[in-house]
Amino acid sequence: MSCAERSSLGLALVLVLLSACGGGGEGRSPGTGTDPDANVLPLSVNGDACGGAGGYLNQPCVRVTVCAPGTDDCRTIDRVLLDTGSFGLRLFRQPLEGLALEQLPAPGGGALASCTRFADLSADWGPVQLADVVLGGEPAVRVPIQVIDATFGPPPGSCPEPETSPEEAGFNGILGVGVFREECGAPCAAIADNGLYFACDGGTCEGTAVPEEDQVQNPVAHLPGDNNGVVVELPAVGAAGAPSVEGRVLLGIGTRPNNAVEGATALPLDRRTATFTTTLEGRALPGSFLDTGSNGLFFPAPEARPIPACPAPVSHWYCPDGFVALTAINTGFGGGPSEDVSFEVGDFRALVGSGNRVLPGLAGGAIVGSGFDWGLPFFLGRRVAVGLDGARSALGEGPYVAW
Amino acid sequence: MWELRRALGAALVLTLAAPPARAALGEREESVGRDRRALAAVARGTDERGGYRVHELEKGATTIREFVSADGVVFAVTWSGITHPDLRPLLGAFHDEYRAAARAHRAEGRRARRVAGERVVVESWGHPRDLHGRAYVPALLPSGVTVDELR
Repeated sequence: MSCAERSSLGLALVLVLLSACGGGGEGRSPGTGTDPDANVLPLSVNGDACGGAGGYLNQPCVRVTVCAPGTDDCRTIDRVLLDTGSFGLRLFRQPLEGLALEQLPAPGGGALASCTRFADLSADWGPVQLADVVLGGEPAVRVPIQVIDATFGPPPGSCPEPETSPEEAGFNGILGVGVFREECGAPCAAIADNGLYFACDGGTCEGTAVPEEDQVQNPVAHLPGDNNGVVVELPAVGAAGAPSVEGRVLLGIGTRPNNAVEGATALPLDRRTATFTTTLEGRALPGSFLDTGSNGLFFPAPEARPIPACPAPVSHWYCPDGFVALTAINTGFGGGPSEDVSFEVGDFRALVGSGNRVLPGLAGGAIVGSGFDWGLPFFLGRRVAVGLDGARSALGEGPYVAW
Repeated sequence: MWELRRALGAALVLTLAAPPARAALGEREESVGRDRRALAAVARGTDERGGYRVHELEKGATTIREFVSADGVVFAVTWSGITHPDLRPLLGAFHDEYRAAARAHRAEGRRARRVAGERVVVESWGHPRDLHGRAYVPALLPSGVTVDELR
């Protein structure tokens, strides 16, 4: 075991490691508090942190280290999807094999489990367990995570066909660093029949209310210092795309020199849905959001400038002749401020045919009324701050997005 | 206490093993009540919208709307809330068709999705805490009703 590997271990060993490895300095030195870049989480799109083949187009990956609470038994897991559209850490059981995380009890007895649903109607199901989570070189934080495990329970009928393996999903887990501190919030604390949280006992799982602090937690909110949000930083990519790119997630907003946000404009978000309004060619699309976890831009084409969909079976992508240039206006919830965003939509078949895996022109249709899903292409060539609900920074109080 | 929980668990299993409630989508208006019971949802009233009627149900923190034509057939279902509802009782006879179409075209990534079977269309969008969807049978849409007004 090298010093670099050992320095990725949990908080418990930090003092030992400091003496054994001379303080680390590898960019992953949990708990030292002296490294000015301890808040940096390397981010790849189809690159290094994605750990090789098997992923999909425009897939942003980070590495996350999780340890059994209070021990030095840890796993560093790559190909964890960075997702500004969800809240909390969820990891498949398979890469955690043999790691003794601590099962959280449901408030009324039994084991607490969670069913997380996504826009595509897919589901992640599994027990909620305590883990020591290490992000970049930050100190470990002890938070409830979801262990994705379709064999647990069994899952209730309302959690249909949950994902079974990293191979099926295309990733080992999801790091949800969106604007909320926990997976569900007040509705799941108040309502037993919330559809997300279940108490599992004796082979059946029934809905349960769960206090917000026992819900799956966004680990960023628990960091000792850099806890008011994140800044996602990715390089610009030409219209033809690139095989992969490397960027950074900076933990905290304006908490250190490396995550300063001078000159950015903050758009406040709806505190219930984390959305703002996009206006495209005169049509207002409320319910719009920035989402690294979506691998394209998804929006209804303007009525005056229809964009052809691709032929089946990829009709969920746009296939214009060449590139279509558009400009949208994003407006904060409540009426302001507004920011123009220019973007280009490419022909899916030509883009994919190039062999490149990072494609800024990847876009597809959406129904009127669904809002504009500003997926990964939006983040290329930008520094985007995602401000946590109720937390302050130089940009104001969250929830907001800023760039 | 534990015995009581087991007994309740056994009762739940028996309930689930009973024949499923008949479908809402494509069924008569009376099936809305069966859906409500199958989902353990709360009725929130009805809304007359020129040419069709909308039944609103509340399930946890998710709102479900069932659209009924003038001749009393459920032609669409929409939902909105912190999570997706159980689609089996809502799609009923169309659920298998939807599942088969969804499996045939598994899309990568996490984003909005449109699944079209031979008769039924299921669309879903949003992100965790703010999820939405609608299911409809194009052949059952009353004339003059556009898909965009199904909210």
